[in-house]
Amino acid sequence: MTARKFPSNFTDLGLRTNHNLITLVQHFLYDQLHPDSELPGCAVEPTLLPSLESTVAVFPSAIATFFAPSDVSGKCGLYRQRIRATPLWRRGDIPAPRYDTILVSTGDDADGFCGTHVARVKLFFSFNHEDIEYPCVLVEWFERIADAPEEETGMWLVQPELTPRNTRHASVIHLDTVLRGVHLLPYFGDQFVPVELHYSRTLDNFRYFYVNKYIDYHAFETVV
Amino acid sequence: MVHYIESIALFGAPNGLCSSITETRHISAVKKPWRRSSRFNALAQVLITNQRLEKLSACRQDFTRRGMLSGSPYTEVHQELLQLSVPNPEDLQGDDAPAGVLNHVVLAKSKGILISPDGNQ
Repeated sequence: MTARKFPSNFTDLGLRTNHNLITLVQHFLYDQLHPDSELPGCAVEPTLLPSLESTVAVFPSAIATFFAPSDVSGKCGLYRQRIRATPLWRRGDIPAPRYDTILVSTGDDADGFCGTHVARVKLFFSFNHEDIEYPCVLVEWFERIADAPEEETGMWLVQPELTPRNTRHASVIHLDTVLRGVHLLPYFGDQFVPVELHYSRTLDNFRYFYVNKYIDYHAFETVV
Repeated sequence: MVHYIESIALFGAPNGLCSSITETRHISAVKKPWRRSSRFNALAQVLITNQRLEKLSACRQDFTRRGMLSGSPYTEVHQELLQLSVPNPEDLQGDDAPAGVLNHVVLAKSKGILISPDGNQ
């Protein structure tokens, strides 16, 4: 196996993802630099978007620490988990890509699950702009199917969010908006699952997913 | 000294002494250190071991007397946190809101590498 570093410029890095990375980072940076602007970065004239001049560093994972006293946690109730986004994760029974799903805070006042969005991490990276370092995540969004959890299981159902052009809706977000990792269970329906389907490809092969609130106590209290 | 005879006849041992007193100390002061030694100049090693054990014990007693061995480095902080009353969210607005965060995410320390399983791109 040959090992190389990820490209350190946005252009080449963008070619490795299925998204227009440069544009998404520009939208993100515009929102960071102009927090009070009326228009969000994605609606602004492209000529007004900031240009990206720095190199990029890519990371295979991020560590989320949060207050979860009911779970097995460290002193003072802090729980730590690692969220991974890497093209080759070796620890499973076969080496395979691993891109975890997360909960992102929406910043509005809604309580519980409605104050969050589910997303799948495709890339953790950081770059500099005018001496400020921005740790970022390239995510693909999921959207809620209904306004309430499913009655039978008590879990919310989500589906991958698509753009009008039928591609995955993706954005670049700041790492601080990430709350924690979240576990998605496939909605199996009443069909059989192919035997050859390996679990590492689950997130790409089902239409709907349950947001698993039963995976730990903190999730149970958060995904309400 | 003279009443030892009576004492032995009545109780089986003089003056309330018992050989287990010395036997227990023999184990911890001689047998265990000898077993831990490399058997080279064993007596010297045993003597040094005993010296160090006594120093450890003295240290422990001193620390306990100073209160250094109760709780942990976090105990004081924990006590302080417990005493802070949780403010009612409705009373706080804007800059009065608590400065603590409920969660924190950091990137991994080492950067990512690209590996393909078949050696190609």
